Amino acid sequence: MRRLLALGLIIVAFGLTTWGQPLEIWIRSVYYPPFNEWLKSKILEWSEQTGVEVDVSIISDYLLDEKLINAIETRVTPDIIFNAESGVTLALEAGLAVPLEDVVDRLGRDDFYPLALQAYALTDPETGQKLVYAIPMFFEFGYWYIRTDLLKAAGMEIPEQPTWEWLVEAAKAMNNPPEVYGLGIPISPSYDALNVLSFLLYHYGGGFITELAPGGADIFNTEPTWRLFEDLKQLYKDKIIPPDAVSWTDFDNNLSYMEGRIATTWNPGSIMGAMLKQNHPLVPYTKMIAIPPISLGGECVFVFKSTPEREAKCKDLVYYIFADKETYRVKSADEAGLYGVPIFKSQGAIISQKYEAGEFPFLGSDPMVPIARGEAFFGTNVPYPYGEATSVFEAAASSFQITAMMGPLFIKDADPKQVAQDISLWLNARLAARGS
Amino acid sequence: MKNRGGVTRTVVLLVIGLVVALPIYWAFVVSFTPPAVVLFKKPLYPSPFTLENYVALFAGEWGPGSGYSFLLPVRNSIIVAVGNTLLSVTVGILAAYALAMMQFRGKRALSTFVLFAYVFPPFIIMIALRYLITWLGINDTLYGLILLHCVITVPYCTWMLRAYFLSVPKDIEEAAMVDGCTRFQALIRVILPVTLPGVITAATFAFTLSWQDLILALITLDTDVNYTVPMALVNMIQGDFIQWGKLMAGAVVGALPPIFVYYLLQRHIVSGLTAGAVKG
Amino acid sequence: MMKKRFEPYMYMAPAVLIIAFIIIFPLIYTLYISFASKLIGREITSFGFFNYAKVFSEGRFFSSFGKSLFFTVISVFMKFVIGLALALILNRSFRGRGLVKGYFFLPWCIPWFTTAILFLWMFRFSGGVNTMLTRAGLSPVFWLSERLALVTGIFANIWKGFPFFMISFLAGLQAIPKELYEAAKVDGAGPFQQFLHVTLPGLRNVILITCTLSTLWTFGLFDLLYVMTRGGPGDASKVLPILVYETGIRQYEFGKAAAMAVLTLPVVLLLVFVLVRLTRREA
Repeated sequence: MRRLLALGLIIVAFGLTTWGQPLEIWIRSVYYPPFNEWLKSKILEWSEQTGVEVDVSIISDYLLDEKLINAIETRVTPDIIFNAESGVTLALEAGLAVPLEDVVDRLGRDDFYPLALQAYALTDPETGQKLVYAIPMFFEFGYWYIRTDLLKAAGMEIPEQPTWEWLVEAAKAMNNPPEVYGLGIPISPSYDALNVLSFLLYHYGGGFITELAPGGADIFNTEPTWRLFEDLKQLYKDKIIPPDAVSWTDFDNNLSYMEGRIATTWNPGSIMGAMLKQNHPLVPYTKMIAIPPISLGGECVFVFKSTPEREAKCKDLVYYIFADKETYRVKSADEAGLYGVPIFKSQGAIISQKYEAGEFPFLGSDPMVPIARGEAFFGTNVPYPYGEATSVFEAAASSFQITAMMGPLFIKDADPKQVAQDISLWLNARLAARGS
Repeated sequence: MKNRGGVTRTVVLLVIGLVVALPIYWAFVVSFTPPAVVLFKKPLYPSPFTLENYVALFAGEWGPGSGYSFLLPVRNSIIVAVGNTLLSVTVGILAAYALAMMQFRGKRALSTFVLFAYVFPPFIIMIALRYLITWLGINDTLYGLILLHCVITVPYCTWMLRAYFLSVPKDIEEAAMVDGCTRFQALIRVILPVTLPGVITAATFAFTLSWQDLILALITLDTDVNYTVPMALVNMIQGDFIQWGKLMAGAVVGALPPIFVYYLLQRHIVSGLTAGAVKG
Repeated sequence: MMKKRFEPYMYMAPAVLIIAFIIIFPLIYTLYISFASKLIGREITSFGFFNYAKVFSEGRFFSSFGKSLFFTVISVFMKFVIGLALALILNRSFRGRGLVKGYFFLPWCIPWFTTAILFLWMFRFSGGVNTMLTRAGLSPVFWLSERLALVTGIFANIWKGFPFFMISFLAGLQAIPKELYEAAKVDGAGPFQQFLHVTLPGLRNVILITCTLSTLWTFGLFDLLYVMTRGGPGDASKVLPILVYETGIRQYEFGKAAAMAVLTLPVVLLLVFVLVRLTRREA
């Protein structure tokens, strides 16, 4: 009975919302307003050229997440989402996602960095094939920001190949509470904190999930994680990490860096972009370095199932957006403080050239190098070592539970092994719930 | 003794007034200071003083590439709030009258049922509501939101007005009935004028409740030209970047219509309005 | 004659019908889903009590519930006290009264979300309040710490919420006939006696309803704490609405979230039941 009702609703909904209606396009707003605006203008350009009507909205992610859930659950969806941080795995599981393999071919499959095509190569539930269901908008690069003036005062220099260990040393040297804290890493419930945790877990040799079955998260409750948690706990105790970092939300580390309170932090290019725009005094004293493996943000574009004609139009639009690769690169990278680096090798080469020519003085190294080498991963979508984007990890990321459960390490002096076990149990429970 | 009362009064007002002022003061400081200065220098007063945040609001450079003035969401909110207030106060007056003045079976059940709208957190019911919205075809419309907001305002109006109606002394109502009025005439001619402060208050709050709603607007409205003020404010948060200055400016501008409504309506309340009613 | 019997129902009809129309399906749907294994985007796979079992076995529901109670009771009580005090003061005429009333109405005009952002700006560790403290030579306070996060949230809630009490009580005070006060004075009652025997009884229904409404709203309040603390640090300020939100909308486990929502029904129903019992016509 319920199936009939659902079917009826779906038919009505499809009929009402898709027949002859303009394409509904959502743009999740990334930090850099000009990029959102440029995307919108490009879409309108395409609409004029092709005569297809569009309804474009730029939506903050505080609003978008609920709207997306609603859309997927009630199966009344927009046609495309740009800059979506999550949702493609959920859409796929609901049978609402459309493969984009032909768009990839049109854009030149060889011009993509392998990393760009691996992230969202998901298993098609019907055929069992791995298909590209979403294309990353760019690689939202996670940099480590360093105050070069404080570094110099501490008598240190950025080495050729910086490592996490070096960073901790530098942080300790620059640490001067309460004016300046050395290691301003996010450790509270936030996307930033999960990205940092992912990076650290890789580095220490641990992992999140090995398989999508209960028990797949046992790998989390292992020695590397215990060591990592012990080290983090100590850093917090020694006040290298600011005491209030446990209550930071996603923008607090940005603000704290711009307030001059922390000497280092992890963040994508948004801090630099904001500082450049405001002529912030710290711009000349900031270097953004890359410590592999790079944790990437997951902004991507994907298309929702509707009718073959609409889907074809959507895919044409997606192609059109990326097609002028040069302009796209300028809008998302060059002008945006290298917030997003290109997914195309041809454009990546230009970035490298520009870097060599000294056009990005705030960068400590060429960001395309680790990308080309594949020394990067998507920290909030793809659990290591499982390697494929999955809704379990998306849920873990967007619910901030993992980082929230790390809280007791800092505020309650909890035993790292206990915390690791709790998190691993929680992840296993999510895996079990998924299977049911 | 009268003087001491006056002094206590002033002290209490001042203390509470200062505490209330603190966030308002900060909102003003942040909205009148250029963004870069606010973050780095943390000034205690706007220096340099600038109107750029407000200008940006009206020039359409406030949200994530909005291109339209902030007045558009304000207009949307006004449409929804006014429409909903008229609807819910009317409906509430009728229901409250029955609950306060009449006896009938199922009175308790019905009045309790109305409060069931507040029972579950909105985001649990939002998915079911979305089904309803689509089925009715009212998604992305302002008038659809007017209807949906009843879920917030009608229970409030019903119960609040019931409270005010209950405080009308029985003699007044009986006097009206004896004079040969129908129930409805008694309501219009006697009860409402006597409880006018309460009705005005209920209307004011119904307006503000509708004005501030975020979640129902979120699930109903899709395209950004239809957004209401709360949604527009949230839209100024982009990832980990918040346009503090414009957000506070928007908060200030967005608070003006409710204040204005409050002033408009409060002028109609005269203290002691009810004083002579019984004798008259 | 027939008309008279149906009369009350006709008056009640618009309100009840509108509410029923909007809310019946969601209420039933939530109840239904709470017994199902439902992940967002997926089909229901089975029915049973397992969601409830899971909720009971994990301690988080109860600790969140406790935090919600703490948050709600203290907030509502303080709002009541402040609102009543201000209403009493503002009930007398004095110069500038209109302006003062308007001033105290201001906090209510700012939506919850914006209030949260504003208070976050103020109470972050390097935010406005601590800046003022340090400039005055005092040491900064970690307002959003594990110990204080909920308290700071309570303060924000009181700041924004007290106008509701103040104005509702003010309107109620104005409905109390002056003759009652005069009669009491004739009987030799002083101001405090008058307050106890005339004001409070006269305000009784308004107080009950205002407090109940506010309790319902405050208990279900999500935006404020979520934006300020995300329920953190750890679980320190994770009131029930935040837990439900994270479970249903973020972890995608909708069935379990619905079960949590249903489990709060007894408390809510109790509250409403008490309200209905206690509000009656003043003799």
